[in-house]
Amino acid sequence: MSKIKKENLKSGTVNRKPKLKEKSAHRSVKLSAGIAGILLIISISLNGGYISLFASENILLQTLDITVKVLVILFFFIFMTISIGNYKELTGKPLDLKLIVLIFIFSLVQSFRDSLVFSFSLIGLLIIIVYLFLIQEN
Amino acid sequence: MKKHTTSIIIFIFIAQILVSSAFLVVKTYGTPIEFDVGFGTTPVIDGIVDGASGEWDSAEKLEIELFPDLSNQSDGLSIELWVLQAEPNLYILARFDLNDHSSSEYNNEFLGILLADWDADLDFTDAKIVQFSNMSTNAYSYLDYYINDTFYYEDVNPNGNGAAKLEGNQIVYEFSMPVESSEGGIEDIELDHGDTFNFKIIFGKTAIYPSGIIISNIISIHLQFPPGAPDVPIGELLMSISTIVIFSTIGAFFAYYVYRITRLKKEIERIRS
Repeated sequence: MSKIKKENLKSGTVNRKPKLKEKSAHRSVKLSAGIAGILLIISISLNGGYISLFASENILLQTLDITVKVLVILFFFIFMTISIGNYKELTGKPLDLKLIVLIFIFSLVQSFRDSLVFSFSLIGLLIIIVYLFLIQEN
Repeated sequence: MKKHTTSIIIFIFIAQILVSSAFLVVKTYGTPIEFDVGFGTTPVIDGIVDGASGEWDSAEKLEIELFPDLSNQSDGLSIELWVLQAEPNLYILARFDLNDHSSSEYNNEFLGILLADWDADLDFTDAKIVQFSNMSTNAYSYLDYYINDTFYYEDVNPNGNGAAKLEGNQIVYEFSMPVESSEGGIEDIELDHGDTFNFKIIFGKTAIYPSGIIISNIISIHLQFPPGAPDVPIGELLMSISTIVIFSTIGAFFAYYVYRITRLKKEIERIRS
């Protein structure tokens, strides 16, 4: 009687694990996409020139302005990659290079109005991609 | 359930910080008096308002006060300020009364206009001043300075014009300054149509700058485009269209992805079956 119960319990735990994993991946898809959406709205406002964060010639404030714009783009890329990566995992396909390039272009193009933001975003995005590539290799 | 609620609260909190940070527009020191300036007939810069020719009739007319301390706006001197554009210049007139204006106290009176670039907020780097050397003989000179770290330096190539005339106790100062002209180089602010510039009106009784300034106020002037000219320059128009196209494409991509997320559960079930 007790043996049967234990076996049932074990098989139940084994079944629940992938379900929990799937649930958490599903939640990650939604949460990451939500954050990426917010970052996209902020990026449209700042990098689209609709809102100026620091309307000053002060070099420190200008640096801060560029930093915020670059960080918004980089975080957008990171969260979109996480979200799409998990989405792909749930559908049983790998996140291929084509999609990463697409997210890369969509992230970088947000900075087209400002050459400094563009340059720093390009460097940042390349560093992230190299980092992701190295992690994958390991 | 409790964990779920906590994560929602954290998510809302992060979203709130991110969204509100975008609205930290640094203009905490108040907005200057703003007005739009259109076009009219060219006035003669001679310190005289010629009512017969109606030279200032089409000007934007405003009454402002100049204060000893801009943060504590009291004990102001009320002045009439008229502004108009006539190709290729911007014209500004200031008119006011003072008791015993012809007395020696005002012999070295001056009225100046400090200019800040459109993106420089209140960093005034250009000064146009009409400086009296002898009020009783109406002897004055028009001065064009550039300002570097509060020091006033005379321009190598002065531009613009200025004049003044005292009649009774009332004095009229008139200024003209070029718009869309880069001849002044780095010493002058290049005024452009379609942009808003901050101007500081300064007044004093001794010819020392900036310590001679006793009262001032800031106005913000939006320079309209000439009649018939396109409201937006072609470069700016292309940039705006590109911005809309690019961000709409990214937005559409993102909306499609969100749609795919809503179909994710069905997609997984379809794959499993």
